[in-house]
Amino acid sequence: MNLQVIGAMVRLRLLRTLRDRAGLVWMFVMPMVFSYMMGMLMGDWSNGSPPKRRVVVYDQDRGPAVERLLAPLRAHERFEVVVVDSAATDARARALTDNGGATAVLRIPSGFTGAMAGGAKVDLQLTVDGNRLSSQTARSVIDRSLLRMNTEQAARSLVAAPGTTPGRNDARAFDDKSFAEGWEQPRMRLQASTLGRLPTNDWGLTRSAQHVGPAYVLFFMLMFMMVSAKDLVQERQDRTLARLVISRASAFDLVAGYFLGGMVIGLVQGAILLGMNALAFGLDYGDSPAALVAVVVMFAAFASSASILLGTLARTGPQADGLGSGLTMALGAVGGLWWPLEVVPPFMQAIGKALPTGQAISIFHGLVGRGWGLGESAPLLGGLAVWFVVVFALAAARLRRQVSA
Amino acid sequence: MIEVRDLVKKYGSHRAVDGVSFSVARGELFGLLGPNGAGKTTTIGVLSTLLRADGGQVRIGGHDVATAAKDVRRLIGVVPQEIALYTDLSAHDNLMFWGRLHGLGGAALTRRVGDLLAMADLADAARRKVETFSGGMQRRLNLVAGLIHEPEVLFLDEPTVGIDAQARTRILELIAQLGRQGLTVIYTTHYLEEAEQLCDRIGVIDRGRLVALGDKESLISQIGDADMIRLSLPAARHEAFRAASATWEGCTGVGERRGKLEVRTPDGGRLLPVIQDWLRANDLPLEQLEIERPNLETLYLNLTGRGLREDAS
Repeated sequence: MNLQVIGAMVRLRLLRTLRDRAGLVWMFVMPMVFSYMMGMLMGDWSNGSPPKRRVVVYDQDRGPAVERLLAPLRAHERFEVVVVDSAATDARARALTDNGGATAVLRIPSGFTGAMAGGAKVDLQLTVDGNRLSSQTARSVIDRSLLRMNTEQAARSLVAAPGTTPGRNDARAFDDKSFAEGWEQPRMRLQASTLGRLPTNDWGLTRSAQHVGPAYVLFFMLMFMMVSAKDLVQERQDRTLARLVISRASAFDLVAGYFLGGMVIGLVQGAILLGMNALAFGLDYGDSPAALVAVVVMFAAFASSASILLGTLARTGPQADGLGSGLTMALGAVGGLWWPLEVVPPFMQAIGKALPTGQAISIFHGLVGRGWGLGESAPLLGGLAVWFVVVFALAAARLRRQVSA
Repeated sequence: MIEVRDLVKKYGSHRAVDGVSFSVARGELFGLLGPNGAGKTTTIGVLSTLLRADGGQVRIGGHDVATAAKDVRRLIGVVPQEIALYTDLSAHDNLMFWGRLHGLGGAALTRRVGDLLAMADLADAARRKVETFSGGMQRRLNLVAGLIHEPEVLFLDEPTVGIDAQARTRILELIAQLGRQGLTVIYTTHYLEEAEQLCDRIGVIDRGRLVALGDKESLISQIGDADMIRLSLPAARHEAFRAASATWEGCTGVGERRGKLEVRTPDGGRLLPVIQDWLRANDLPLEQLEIERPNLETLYLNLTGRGLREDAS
């Protein structure tokens, strides 16, 4: 292994990338543009002053507890609460949510305030659209508010009999049974229903930027690498590859030089784009820098290997260009970089998560939305590692064959 | 310096190089002359360790190219027919890269790059992207890039293809300069005037076989009575011309090629007035009359039955 040769090849790759202004635009500017545009299209944006989403409340209770329930929603910067003093059918609530008239519809029956005071139990009906992150957020806010009120009601029942107001010195002995009943069988329950398109209860993301940011970082890392496969074809055609072969570089040095050159470009691009996304869109990549580094390194390694493999398979530059773009599009779409895997049917989710793009973005979702660390990321990182090893082995074998007499 | 014995290289059933043998002495400028597809580039490919031979043996500086490619690569530089450079980088960056790849670095590399840019008359354009260069400038940079590590042997594969006459002259001057500095050069071309002008010895290659080998004079002497007088006549008068020529002293034969009559003679100067007299006597024009002295073109024609340019075009 000749480190000087490998270093020279990595340096050459960086130099050529830096001198290519159009390439730099595609590396760094376009991903940010795509992140912004797709974030807008997905209907959820946290920075700036986005239009407020409407939550329609059909209030048949009209008691003071309703205002307490809705207070966090009214205080939320992203929601506008519209209270209607009438009832609505299930179909009406679904239609309103489906046609975009509301991001969520909450129906509060009469007796809600009474339930808060220890009266009969009531069920609130919430209709949301699982495809919209704003719907999920509204549900989360209402859930928390109701939990707070139920907890308060349960606590209150411990110090005063139902229907009475506790006096200043009215402390009763703590009653485990009453507390358990109050906690496990709350007096006010939220029955939520979605439009049935998306089971997203557990993905943990609250903003579209949390998906589109990392997704377009991965997409453009892969795109840049795959499109640069044509450089290897060009080097073969204009005989710079032959000139490399008769230098002091061994076949191993050439494979290592091409691979590491691609990896360094991918890592620089990935690091800069993730940083820009964090600054521009306030993204937080979770609490595990090790897992974050691992997924970016592994994905860059895969992308660099894929670029070499494509460069050795394609016969012409345009062929490499076309195949590279097509493969990136396919891996991006099926692997959940264009839209979250969570919104596609289960069998497509299974296919997506078998792909390197699906594995990488799923790790990002875990890091950002569910607080994953290395342990939780390990199975998907393993899958990504398998992709890297297989593609690298094929790429190295083909390149070695092409540079050997 | 270079020994080639019975070299064979096949592509499938096609023998691109078929039993070629020659040797090149240290410091010699050796030309490999032949049309496109004759086997020149394949021969260079094997000699420069890029292709594996199917038969025969090649030794460079005492090292076998098949078993000691690493040692051979230390001795050789290759200038491919293509512009094997990174045209999106400057001339300076290209040479620095190729230098680093050959283990050079620091001040020695910077100095070497400066020397080569000066040698190629590119010092003023050193920081310009190669893609903005003219064809001749690109060719000169392509050539000196093969010299960055100061090789003992340089393979030049048609280094003047596709450039204008002025640029070609500059390249040929550069190569002549390298020859004078004692570099061993193998130079392939299908331009016979380049081979005549530059090379100490020439190997003529045709369809994978070496059909002639020697210095220019010895090759031409193989042709013998090689002066050739060409003339255009109406086809109906060819027989009459042939009959008359049989009586002329010094005329050793009359052939026909592409509608022209070709008269062979050891002394074209003596036979020419005789032919002119016959043409006048027969009221035929004198304009289409030309005399050709023996050269590599006639040698190639004699050896292969085809002109170099015919195959090259």
